[in-house]
Amino acid sequence: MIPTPLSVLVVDDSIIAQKKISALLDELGHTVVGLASNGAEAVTKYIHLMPDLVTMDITMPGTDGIVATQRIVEKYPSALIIMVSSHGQEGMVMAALEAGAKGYVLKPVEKDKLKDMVQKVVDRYVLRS
Amino acid sequence: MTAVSIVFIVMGNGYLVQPYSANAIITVVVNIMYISAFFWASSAKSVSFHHTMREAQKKAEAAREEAVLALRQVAMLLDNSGQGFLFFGPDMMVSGRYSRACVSILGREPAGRNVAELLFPGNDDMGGLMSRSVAGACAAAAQGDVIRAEVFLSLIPKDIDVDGKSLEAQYIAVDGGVMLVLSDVSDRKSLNAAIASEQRRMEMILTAVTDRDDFFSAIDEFRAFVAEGAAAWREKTVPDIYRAVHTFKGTFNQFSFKTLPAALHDTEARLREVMDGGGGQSIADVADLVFATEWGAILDDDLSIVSEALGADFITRKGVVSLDPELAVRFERFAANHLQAGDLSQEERGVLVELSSIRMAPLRHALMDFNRLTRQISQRLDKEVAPLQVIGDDVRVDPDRFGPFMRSLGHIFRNAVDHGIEHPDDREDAGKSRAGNIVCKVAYDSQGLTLVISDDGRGIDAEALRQRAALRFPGEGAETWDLADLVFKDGLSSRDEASAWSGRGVGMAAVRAACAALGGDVDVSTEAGQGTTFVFRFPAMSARVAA
Repeated sequence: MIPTPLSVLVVDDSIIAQKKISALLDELGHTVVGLASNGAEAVTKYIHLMPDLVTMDITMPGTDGIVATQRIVEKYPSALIIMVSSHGQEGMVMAALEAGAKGYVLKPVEKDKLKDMVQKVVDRYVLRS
Repeated sequence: MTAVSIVFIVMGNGYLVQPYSANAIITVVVNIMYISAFFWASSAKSVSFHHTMREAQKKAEAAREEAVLALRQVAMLLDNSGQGFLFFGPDMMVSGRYSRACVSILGREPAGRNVAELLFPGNDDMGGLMSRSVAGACAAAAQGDVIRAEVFLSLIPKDIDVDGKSLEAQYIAVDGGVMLVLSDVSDRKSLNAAIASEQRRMEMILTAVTDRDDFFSAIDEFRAFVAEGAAAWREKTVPDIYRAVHTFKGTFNQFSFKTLPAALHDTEARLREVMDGGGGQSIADVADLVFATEWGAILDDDLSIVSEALGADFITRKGVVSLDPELAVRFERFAANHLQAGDLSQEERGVLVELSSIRMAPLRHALMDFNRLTRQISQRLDKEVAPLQVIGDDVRVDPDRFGPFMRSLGHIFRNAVDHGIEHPDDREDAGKSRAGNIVCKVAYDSQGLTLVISDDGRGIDAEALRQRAALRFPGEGAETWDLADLVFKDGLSSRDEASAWSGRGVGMAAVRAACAALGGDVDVSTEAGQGTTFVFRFPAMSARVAA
């Protein structure tokens, strides 16, 4: 099956993590259209760029990933947001899912894990709609 | 047979609506003859209606029996697979159908009970997380969103300890609820635990031999702590005793002690609760709490591992034919006094200089000893760290005086590996070597002793730390603290949860306290993505350069 190339907004307060996730998405054939390093910036860039997919860090200075997810999904219920979380953040992941995130991957983000989660989300929410 | 007849009739009718050609009429007649012949043939075989019905009934009965047998076989398979299968709905109540193994695995009949209560008894937080997961999964499944259901269910822990057993759980969204598949993996787990404990035992024995001095001085220090008991803490504060416990935990962890670090960890956790509880308890009560544990017995138990392997007198002799420490001090004083005298030969002077620093130990060795710690931690965190580089002057220090400070440095190295050094892939992405580097520089001049420890990790996010400090210590003006204030603040960690390796944010405070006890001070600088550097300065006379 030909992979669907997606436009992606990468949200993470660590520049290294931004680079890392962007490189992985690139390898998977997707296009990173924007970077944001906190929740408020993520909301603004989402509205501006309208990406197909967002990877969202949870703990960030200022507006965190959960609040950002909530704000984006409120306006755009079909937004595809994948949370990037650490071990021990299950409660926060739960809150993000309840706020409308579609999935999550655990840090350190590895290519296969990211690929599987993106594929699942694409199969479920992109191809069928 | 009936179907064949109908085809004939339809065909006949088809022809009948056509204009009545001779051919057509013949065809119809032939068809009718075929049908009649068919019915005649059937009756000729004497197949009675009653008989046909009985046959059908028999077949249905057989099919039903077969289905029941199949169901029984499935139940048998499930019952004998050794795995527990059960169902529960969004109300978390386990249904009446479950495989037999559930009872032995869970230690009770699961039907009608709350599944979270069965898996995580007494853990309300986990129960809450689980019921939110199940609610989310059931809602998603009801909308046909299997992926979302799966995502929600994946948040429930899969490795569970129930009733003294280690279980592996699998959660599958099914119609109107969740199927839970349980496997008892205790045997596998206990085998793994046995291997790990054997490894730790070997590490501890090795440490006792290779790191004799630190090993025994840590034991001496801990024995003194235990001997002095609660009384020694009357004038101190709860954070003081907390720091002491925390530092001992780190030290004995470093030496791969079996039980002591875990016991200290428990005590530390209880002290944390006391401190988070608003400090209503007096230091006397808290100290009693700490010394309620039979520390001496735990220490002896752990040490028996070493004496069994290396002989009982290894512990009592402390690994060497040693000089009585009091005698060593007397030798030093004697040497120092006689060095003042002017008329000494070259040889006499040389011997007296050696004697005057008989107990002094090279700082370089003490620093190199942290290699094992950084290696252990990096292995467990799947990171890579190059061997420690120790450069600079060959300085010797009094181990009795510098011991507590040197041991506190474990926190610096531990944090460097845990928080500073990135994962190898991340380092490569950032254009660094896959292995992190930690460098120690020692310098000694008329100003005193300087020790610099730097890593080339990700650096400290001062802003994040400041925000955390402002939240944790409201009203203390954390917004204006500098990096050193933040890094060395008691009770402030850059992580949410204390891991077994990184601390709870007290370790760094212990480092500064130990440094100050020697009359020294410490400064820290950091650069995002480039690393962190600690600079310790001690007044002259606290050390000496090797002759």
